[in-house]
Amino acid sequence: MENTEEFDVKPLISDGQNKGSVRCALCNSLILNPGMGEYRSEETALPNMRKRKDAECEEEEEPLSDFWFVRNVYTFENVGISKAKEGKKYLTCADCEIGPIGWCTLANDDCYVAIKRVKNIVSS
Amino acid sequence: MAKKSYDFLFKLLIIGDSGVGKTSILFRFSDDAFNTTFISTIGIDFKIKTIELRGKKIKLQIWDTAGQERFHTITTSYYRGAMGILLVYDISDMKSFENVMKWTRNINEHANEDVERMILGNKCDKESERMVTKEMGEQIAREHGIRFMETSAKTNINIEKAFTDLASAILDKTVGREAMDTSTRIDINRKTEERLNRCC
Repeated sequence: MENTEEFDVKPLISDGQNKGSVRCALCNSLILNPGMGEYRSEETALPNMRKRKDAECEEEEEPLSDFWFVRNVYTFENVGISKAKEGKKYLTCADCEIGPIGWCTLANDDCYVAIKRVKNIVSS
Repeated sequence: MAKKSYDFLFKLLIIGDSGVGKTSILFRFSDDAFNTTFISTIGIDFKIKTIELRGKKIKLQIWDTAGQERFHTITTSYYRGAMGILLVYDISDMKSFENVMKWTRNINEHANEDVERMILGNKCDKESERMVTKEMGEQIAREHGIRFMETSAKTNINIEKAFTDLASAILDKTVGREAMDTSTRIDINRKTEERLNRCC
């Protein structure tokens, strides 16, 4: 989930969209159905999913570059939307609340799911 | 525009006293490793959950008061557009049950008058600490003409059922209204649609 190795997103994409369903990496809750997200490559850092116990690590962020772009929050099967912080809202698993798995705009319209932070189910 | 991925969108609220387990109703399991994350610090605004009822795909947009009730700041804006309300008390806390009356008045004052309501007696796994009998819950629900069930978020009793029963009641109402509108006047039908599409 939080390894920093390069990983190949190509097998996850079909026609520019998510080929398989997107599920929570922790509890397997269904987040997005196949074909409902568009692949976007852009650099965005998101706060870490786990905080370390010591307080000085709390603000750590992880740079991410591969996202599923989703046009509005109602496109998701299940998702949690955080309160706003510094002009952004963050996406979580609706069931176990792990996150941020992505972010969205204040109007809940443009959403970005970090591909590395979710389970992408592509059957071969 | 992208294809619409659902048939209906229902806005639901969870209200009740602090500590009755409103937030855990929306939380599948807890794990100490995750209770100090960035997300729990900023808090969750609302959740989207998708269910299927009678072949219709329904998006539930679910709001929990997240502590606002402590400051008595639950007002009209929170209730705006709500189609269903889960009113929660804790079976091991008599005060929270007594306050169901207070919440009912609050709902009557602020919410849309045809909002579907359901009372939930939560924490029914805590049988040894029970202060409110099931009959008391049933009686207050009957007096107000509201649905009722006992739930346990902790042991996952009736949680899914609470959401699907409430959604089902809203669906009955919505479909009934649409059918009537279609057969009478088209402009009313359009109004109903606008209402359904309205979101935050």
